[in-house]
Amino acid sequence: MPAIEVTDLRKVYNNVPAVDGISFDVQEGEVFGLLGPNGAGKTTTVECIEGLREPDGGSITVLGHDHLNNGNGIKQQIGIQLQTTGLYPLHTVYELLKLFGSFYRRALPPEDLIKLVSLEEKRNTRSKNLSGGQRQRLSLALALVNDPTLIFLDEPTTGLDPQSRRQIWNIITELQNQGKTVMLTTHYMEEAQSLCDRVAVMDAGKIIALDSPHDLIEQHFETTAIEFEDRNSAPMDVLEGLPGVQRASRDGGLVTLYSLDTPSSIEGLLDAARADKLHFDDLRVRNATLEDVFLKLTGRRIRD
Amino acid sequence: MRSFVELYIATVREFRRDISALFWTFAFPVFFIFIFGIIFSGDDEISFDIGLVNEDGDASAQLVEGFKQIEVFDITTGDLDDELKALEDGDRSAVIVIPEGTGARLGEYFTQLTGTSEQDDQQIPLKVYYDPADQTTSQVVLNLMDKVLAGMNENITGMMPALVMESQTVSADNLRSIDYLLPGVLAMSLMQLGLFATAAPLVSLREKEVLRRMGATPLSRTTLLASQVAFRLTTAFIQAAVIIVVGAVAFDVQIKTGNALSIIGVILLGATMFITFGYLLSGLAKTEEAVQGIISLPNFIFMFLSGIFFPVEIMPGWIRPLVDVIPLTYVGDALRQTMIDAGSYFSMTRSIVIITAWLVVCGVLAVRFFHWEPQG
Repeated sequence: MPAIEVTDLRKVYNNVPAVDGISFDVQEGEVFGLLGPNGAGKTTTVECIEGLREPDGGSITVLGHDHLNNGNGIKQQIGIQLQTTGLYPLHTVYELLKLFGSFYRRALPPEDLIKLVSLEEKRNTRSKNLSGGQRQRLSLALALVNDPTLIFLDEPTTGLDPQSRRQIWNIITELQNQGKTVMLTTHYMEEAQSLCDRVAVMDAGKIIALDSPHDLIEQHFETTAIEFEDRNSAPMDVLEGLPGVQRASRDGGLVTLYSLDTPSSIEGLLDAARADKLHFDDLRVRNATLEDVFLKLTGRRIRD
Repeated sequence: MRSFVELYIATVREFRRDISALFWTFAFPVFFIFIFGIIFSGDDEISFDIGLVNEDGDASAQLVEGFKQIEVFDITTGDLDDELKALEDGDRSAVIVIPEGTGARLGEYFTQLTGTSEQDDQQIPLKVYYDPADQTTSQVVLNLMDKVLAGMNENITGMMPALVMESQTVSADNLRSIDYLLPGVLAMSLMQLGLFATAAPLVSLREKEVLRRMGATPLSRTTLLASQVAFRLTTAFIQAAVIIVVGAVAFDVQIKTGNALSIIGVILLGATMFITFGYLLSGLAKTEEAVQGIISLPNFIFMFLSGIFFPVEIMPGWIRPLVDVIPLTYVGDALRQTMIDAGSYFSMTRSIVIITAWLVVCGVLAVRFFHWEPQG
C-alpha cells in the first residue's frame, strides 16, 4: 500500500490554477521529492496532502485513509514541517518540544528529539535566540515529536548555510534508515539528487517528469555537460556543429553543450577558438544533473 | 485536557517573560492609581490669587474682610503699583481696587435704605484689573466677582434671594476622588487587557504563523482558544486584586467586601466582553502594525468618553449619546456601584444588559472575522 496516493489534484487561487491536475503516489519507506522553482505549486500540493488546504478537485489518500474524512486521525500519524515554523519566541527548545508533545496521544521524550537533531547545547535557549540552522533543526524535531511514520518537509534547507544544510541532510538520511516515509519539497536540485529515491519535477502546477534522479538524467541525457562562459555570443549553429555535441543551450553568457563524446567535443571547441569562431572562459566538464533535466524540459533554470 | 493545561502554562510563561506585557498589564494601572491618588489627595478646591488694593483705608476694612471670607479667593493686600506689577508677572489672577470714599458712600447708601428718603441710584464703582490674554482665568474670575458682588449687595440691601445654588459634586456623600477613580482604573485595565494583551498578541501569533503551526497538529482549535481565554480571565482577576490592594493600602480606599460576589461577577462579565472585543479587533487587523492603530482608537475614545475618570455630567450634551453606548461606561459604572459606596448613573440591570449585548455582538462578529492564517 502506498503511503500517499494523489489523483488529479487541483487547487485554484483567484482563477489561476496553482496545482493543475497532478497524480502521483509515494511508497512506504521512500524519500520522495517535489522539485521545482518557487511558485511551481509544491507547497500547495503538500499542504493539500497534509490537510491544511482544501483541494478544489481530485482525491488524496494518506496512509490508507481518505484524509478529508479523517483529518485529525491522520494528523496523529504524520509529522509536518511547514515552510515557516512559527514558535512562541520566549519558549526554550525543551519547553516547545514538551508543549507540542502534549498535542499528541503518543509523544517521544524531548531529550531523545534534542539528541536526534543535535541541539543538546541549545536545550534551554529561547527559540528567538536560535540561529537559522538551529531553528530549522528544532522545527524538524517538532515534526518528529509524535514519532510519525510519514513526514512532510517543506523546503527544509532553504536559506541555510552549507554546513547547516549538511546537518539536515544527515537527519533526513537517518529517518530513512529508520524506515520512515519522507516527502519533501525543494528548489535545490543537489538536495533532490542526493536525498530522494524519486523526484517529481514540478513547473507551473504540473508534474513534468517523475522518476529516480538517476533515471531522470539517464532518460534525458546520455551525455556529459560541457559548460563555459561565452564572451562573444557565438551562433547556436556553430555550437551545435561541434563534434560529438548532441544539444547546446545558452543561458545569458553561460553555454552548456551536451556531448556524447567529451574528448572530441573539447577538441572541436579548442579548434573553433583557435580559428577565432568563439571565445570561452571558465571551461568545465561535469555530469548532467537534475538542473539540466529541468532546463531541457522548461527552457529555464530552476532558480530563475 | 493535557494539551489544555500545557497550552495554559505556555501562555502564562510567554506572558511572564514578556516585560512590556507585564508592564502594561500590572504596572500601568498601578501608576494610574498613584498619579490620581497624589493629584487628588490634597485640597480639592481650586483657588485664585487676587490682589486687593484698598485706597479707602479703615472705612472699607469691613469690605476687605468680606472678600477675605470668599473661599476661592486667596487675597493679598498691597498698594496699586505693586499689585499691578504682580498681575503682569502672572502672580495674580486679578486685582481689585476699592476707591477712596467707598466706605463713606456705602454708609450713605445704607442710611438711605433704612430711611424712607428717596434712593440715590448712584452706584459705587469697584475697579477690577485682569489680564485679557489669560481668557479662561479672567472669565472665571470676573464671573465669580459678579456673583460675589451680587451676594454682597444682597447682604447690604438685606434682600433674601429666592433661589440658592448649592454647589455639589457627584461624590456628595463625602467620597474622595480616589474612591471614585479606583473602580475606573480597574475598568480601564480590563479594557486594556482586551486590547493590548489580547488583540495585539493574537495578531502577532497569527502573522508569525504560530497559530498555523499548532493548527498542523491534532490540537483542537477549541482547546487552543479556551486556554487563551482562560489565561486572560485569570489575568483579569490578578489585575483586580493588585488594583484593589494598592488602592486599599496606599490610599485607604474602602471596598465593600460584602459585595464580593457581585464584584467578581461584574469583573468576569466585563473582562469576557473586552477579551471578545479584542478577538474581534484582531480579526479586523491585517498586520501587526495595523492592529496597533485599531486598538489605540477605542482605547482613547473609551477612556475619555466613558466617565470612568470624571463625571459624565460635565461633558457637553451632544456627546452623551456616544457616552451611553460605550461599554466601558457601564463596566466602570457597575464596578463603582458594587465596589464603593457611590451613586451610579445607570441601574445595574441596564449596565448588565448593555455589557451582555456588547459581548454577544462582538462574539458573533469575532467568530465571523477570526483567521488562523496570516493575513498580511
